[in-house]
Amino acid sequence: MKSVLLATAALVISAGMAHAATITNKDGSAIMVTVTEGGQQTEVGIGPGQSVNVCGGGCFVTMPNGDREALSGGENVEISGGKATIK
Amino acid sequence: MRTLITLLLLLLMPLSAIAADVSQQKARIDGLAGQITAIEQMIDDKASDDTGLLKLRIDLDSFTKSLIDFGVSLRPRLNEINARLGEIGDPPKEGEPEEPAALSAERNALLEEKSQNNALLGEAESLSIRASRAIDRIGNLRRDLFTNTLFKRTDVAGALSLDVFTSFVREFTKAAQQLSSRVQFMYSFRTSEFLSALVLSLLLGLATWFGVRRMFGAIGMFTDTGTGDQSYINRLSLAFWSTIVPSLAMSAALAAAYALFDYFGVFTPQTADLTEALLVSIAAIFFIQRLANALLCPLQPERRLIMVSDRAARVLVTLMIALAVIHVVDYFIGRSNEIFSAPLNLTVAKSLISSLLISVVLVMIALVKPFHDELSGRAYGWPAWIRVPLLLIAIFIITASVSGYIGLARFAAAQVVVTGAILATMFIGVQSGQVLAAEGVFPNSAIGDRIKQKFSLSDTALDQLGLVLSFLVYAAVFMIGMPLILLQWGFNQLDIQTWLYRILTDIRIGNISISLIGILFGMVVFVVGFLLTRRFQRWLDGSVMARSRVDPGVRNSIRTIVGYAGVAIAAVIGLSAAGFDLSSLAIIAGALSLGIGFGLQNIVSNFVSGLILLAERPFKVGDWIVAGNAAGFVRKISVRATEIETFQSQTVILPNSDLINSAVGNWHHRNHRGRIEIPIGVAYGIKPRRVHELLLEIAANDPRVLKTPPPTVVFKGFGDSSLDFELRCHVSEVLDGVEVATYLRYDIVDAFERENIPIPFPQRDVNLKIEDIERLADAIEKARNRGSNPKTSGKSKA
Repeated sequence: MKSVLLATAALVISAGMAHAATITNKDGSAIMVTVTEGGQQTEVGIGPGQSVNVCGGGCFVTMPNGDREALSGGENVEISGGKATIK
Repeated sequence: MRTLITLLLLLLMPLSAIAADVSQQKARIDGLAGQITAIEQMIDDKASDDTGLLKLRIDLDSFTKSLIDFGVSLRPRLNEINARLGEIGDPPKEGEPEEPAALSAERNALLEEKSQNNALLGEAESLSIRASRAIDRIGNLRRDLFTNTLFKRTDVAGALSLDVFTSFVREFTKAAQQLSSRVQFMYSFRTSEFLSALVLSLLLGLATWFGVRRMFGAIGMFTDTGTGDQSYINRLSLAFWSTIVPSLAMSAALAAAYALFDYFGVFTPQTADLTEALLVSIAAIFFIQRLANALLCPLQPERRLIMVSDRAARVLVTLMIALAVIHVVDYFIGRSNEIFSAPLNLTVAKSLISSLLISVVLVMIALVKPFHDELSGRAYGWPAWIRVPLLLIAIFIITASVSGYIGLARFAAAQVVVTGAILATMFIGVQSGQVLAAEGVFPNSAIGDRIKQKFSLSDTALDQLGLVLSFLVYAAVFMIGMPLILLQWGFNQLDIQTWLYRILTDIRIGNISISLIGILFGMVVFVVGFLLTRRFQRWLDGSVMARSRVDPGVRNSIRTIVGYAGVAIAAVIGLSAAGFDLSSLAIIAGALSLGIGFGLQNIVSNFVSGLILLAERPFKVGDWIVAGNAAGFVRKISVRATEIETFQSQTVILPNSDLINSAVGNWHHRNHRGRIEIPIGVAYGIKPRRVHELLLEIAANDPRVLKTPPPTVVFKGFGDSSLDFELRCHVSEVLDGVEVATYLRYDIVDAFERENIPIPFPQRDVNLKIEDIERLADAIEKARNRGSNPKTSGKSKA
């Protein structure tokens, strides 16, 4: 019984909960997105096929085609053809 | 033409709706912009008010969040626009056929709306930047504020001049006049309200007093073991409760009295603040007095927690109360100065005096000689690790105040009193936690005794309970004590709340965020699920299946399966309640499955075999099985292995896969019938048919031998010394076979004796074939003749 509880605890702790938003570049070439979080504007480069995790507590993102999006964390953003699809 | 107009109208209708939508959003963002401007303005206004700044900070946090929410709320519409734009496609290039006018109109409208939305989001973004700049500014302001209060230098000489005395007298008279006129006014014009508030609060005070006394009777019963010698744990708990309960009761009563006066409209803003300060002061002195008494018990040496001499205990309690009084008086005068807006030099003077007084008391405490040597009877002082820091703090306070850093001195002095009091309370808590955790303490304590009687728990269980309790005590001590100390050290309550909230809900390690509350909640859910499963299992087994006369083996299988299923479900629900994403569990499972395939092959195969055993039931608990070398009763079928108890009472644990993969004999599978065989031989010369009849008769006379299938006698053959028979009969319970066979053998022996049928031993006829038998006979004859001289015969032989 004890071991079951401990194992559960260990599993929960090790897996944790991912809250950051993920941006995935589905295009063949690298792209740049602008992330504004905590008053800081940063340019984030994403290589072809790569994903990056951005902003845990909400941020604004400017996509390569100039579209802006607000992310509250936890979203999966896919960029293809410069356009973003949010899941 | 008409159709074109209709189409245009149709297109314009949503457009107007969109325009309304966008203007609404525009209004929203303008409202948000107004908010941030207002907050920025307020930061300027409250640049010197720490709490105000902190509140603004919290406002800014939620403001930032609402900006994000605003942005997110635009998303559905943006998605719609993007989807529709995708459907419409790009405008035709040169050379391509022109598209209908309606289509390009729609596209332009959509693009227009999209750019408006983007502009709104851009505005929200710049507002969020403004908000975080404001947050930074608040941080800087608060830091400066703190440093300024602590490290501002004041002219001490000015503070101690005659001016101060005159201004004190002036202010005091002014305040006294104001107060007395207020009281006079209340008394003459609002007599009934004033009196009812007074009487009610007095009644309340009395009720609290009696309540606490009564309750203390109860606690005394818990802790007082009757003898004068108190165990340490009982003394500790008494100290703890006799500090906490009366102090809380006192605070509650005072707060209630304040509320009563407030309710009856007796207060003006000034008197309200003044009363509040007064009540807080009273509660603080009361608490420290209780605490000092609990720790040192000057009147009851047997309850003392710190073993100092009686005289030292008295002195120390007096000094501690003196510290509290000085601090509280200082606090009260400070508040009054604020309330009556007295000149600054008064505040400086009172801080200076109280700091110096506190350091003097500290020096006195440091110099007390609390212990005495049993042998020489000489008193000796505190150990250096207590005395030296106390003296250093005193010197520090004196130096700081004399050199003009009154704020710093006052801060340090206040910390000595307040942090000291909190640390002392925590000391009691931690001590009781430590003592509780020690082995055998809790079961032997008065409370443990009660629990033992009430819930009939074993000592081990109580000991474990003591461990859990000690953990809870630690947790409570630190959860309450640490924030209190931080509060004293210039951290603000809201700050601490924010941290605590962060720690509990949102610990970030890289991109992973862990919520302690979530995990705790998940665990609670799991435990509840687990207990429910056990309960359900017991109900199903005990009430439903037992009454439906289900076979015990089946019952066991069902109970086990229900148990595993319940635990699995509880685990899954617990995991999702902990906020753990089950899809990542799937990923982990996927990643692990290869490892499981290789590394845990055996365990998994046993596990699956166990499930098959439970479902297929080739044997049940209680069956007599033979598997390989092991034979015995099945005692437990668990998921990995099966326990078998042999007839020698040895427990053999067989991996389930062995039981599935190889042949298992089960004596109890379909029925419990078994055959016994008794071989028997009779002498040659006895009539075999008579023996046959006799054996059948014996078998028929034993009631435990089954009639069908009937017993049989086999005439097995002509043995070396006997005619060999075998009696074969069936018994209904194979386990009785050995016993039945034994009794049958007794009966056979009896019957054969009665009938004069001998049971022969193995007989051997030995035929000697010796050729020179005559010479042998001669040799014997000679030997006989020389019988009188055996020595010679031995020689002649050689």
